[in-house]
Amino acid sequence: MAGEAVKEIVKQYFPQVIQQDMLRYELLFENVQEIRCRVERPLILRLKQGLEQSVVERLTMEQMQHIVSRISQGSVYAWEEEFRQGYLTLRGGHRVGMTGKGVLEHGRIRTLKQISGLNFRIARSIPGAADELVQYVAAGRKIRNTLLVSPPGCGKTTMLRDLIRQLSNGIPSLHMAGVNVGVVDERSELAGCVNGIPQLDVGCRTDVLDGCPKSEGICMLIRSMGPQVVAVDEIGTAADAAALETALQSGIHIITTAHGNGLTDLLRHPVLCPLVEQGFFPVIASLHWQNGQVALHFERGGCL
Amino acid sequence: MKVGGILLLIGAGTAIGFYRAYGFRKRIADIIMLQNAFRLLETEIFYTLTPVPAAMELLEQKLPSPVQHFFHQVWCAVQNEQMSVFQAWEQGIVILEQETFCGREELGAVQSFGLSLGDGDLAAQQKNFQLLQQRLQYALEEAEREKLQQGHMWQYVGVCASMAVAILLC
Repeated sequence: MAGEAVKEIVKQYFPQVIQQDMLRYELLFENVQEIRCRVERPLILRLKQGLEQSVVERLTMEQMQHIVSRISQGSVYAWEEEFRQGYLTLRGGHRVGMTGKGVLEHGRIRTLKQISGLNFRIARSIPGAADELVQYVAAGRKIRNTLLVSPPGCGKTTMLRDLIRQLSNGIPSLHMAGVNVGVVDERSELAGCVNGIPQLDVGCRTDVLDGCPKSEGICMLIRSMGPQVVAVDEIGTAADAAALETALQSGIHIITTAHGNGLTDLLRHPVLCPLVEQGFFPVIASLHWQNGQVALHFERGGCL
Repeated sequence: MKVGGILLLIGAGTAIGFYRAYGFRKRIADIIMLQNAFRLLETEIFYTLTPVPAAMELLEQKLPSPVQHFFHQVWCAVQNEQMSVFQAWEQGIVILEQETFCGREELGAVQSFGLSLGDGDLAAQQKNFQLLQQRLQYALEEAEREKLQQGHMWQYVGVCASMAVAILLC
């Protein structure tokens, strides 16, 4: 449950003096989507439907350093790549984004220091989130390549995760047995692996390549794990697209997501447009907010 | 009864002398044990980028007591009591002080090492480990010199001094 997860985060990573202030709002924890920490500014809980609750008036630099020390387990060196990318993943699959002063090397970010802001994004596993989508993805008991597109914050990763779970475990309503699913979880958001163990349910026939670049990971999975489906989150680079094409040519089904508002944005994307126009994705669905809820809309393949 | 007392006195003096001599040999063994333990920790940190508490938890099973106890204390304190690595390290040093024959030099080296363990990038950790191993090597050479100079001496001192006291008392 999200409430328990938030409580666990508060107790594990926040200083004692802040814990007491935060636990006063325990009743709100079930609705928390993000915990926003900024030095010398209030600590804010971001709730569902855009609501916010300030729980600490001012977060000091020492308190921020304590939190950073706790989330990195006192071992900054172990998270060099994560600090360079500006986020790391906690036990439970929760992602912590960070801001601070960039340390540059040859014009590229080598790491972040003087962390001044943290964003704890609470991972939510919602079984059944992909119930509607899976009817079209696995129509006629044949899996169709699927592209799910939405702006940030609409739940495409949550939906992708549930889709992976259902394909992996099997779909009784469609009389469909489970299939081997390979997941390249570059940012540890899909499976939330800690020490190689998925913290979120991605199904019993799912193999996860954690923290691996998508382009390399897809090729590795094809070579060694024999997946029937490969799932990756947020494709956007030419290397990703090339790896997807290799998978498609190998007869492997692809389930993936991309940022955008719909088909129009996909057709403007220099990398995704060729894949869309050539019909690699028989199913293209988009998510967007409608009347305070996330709605699924089929751009393509919405007929059974 | 008098003979018994004399024998007890000589035995005690001999035991003290032999214990001191044993301390010199044990100090050498303890320093070597620390060197090996921190080499393993270095490997764990550099090759698999394991965070400090997790690395110590992994290595704890492979190490002999009392370094095993020290590693266990540190990772437990970080994991379960939410201490910083530095705070847990300071606590753990007490175990080395109490359960080993380590001297000031090597205990100081391990304590200083804990000040920057986990802070900074891999290059900084590498320098930290190198400095620690250099200091431990220096302490080892000093311990071996002391053993050569004083090891046997204390054995003889123990026996002779106790016999002298026994004679005086007689």
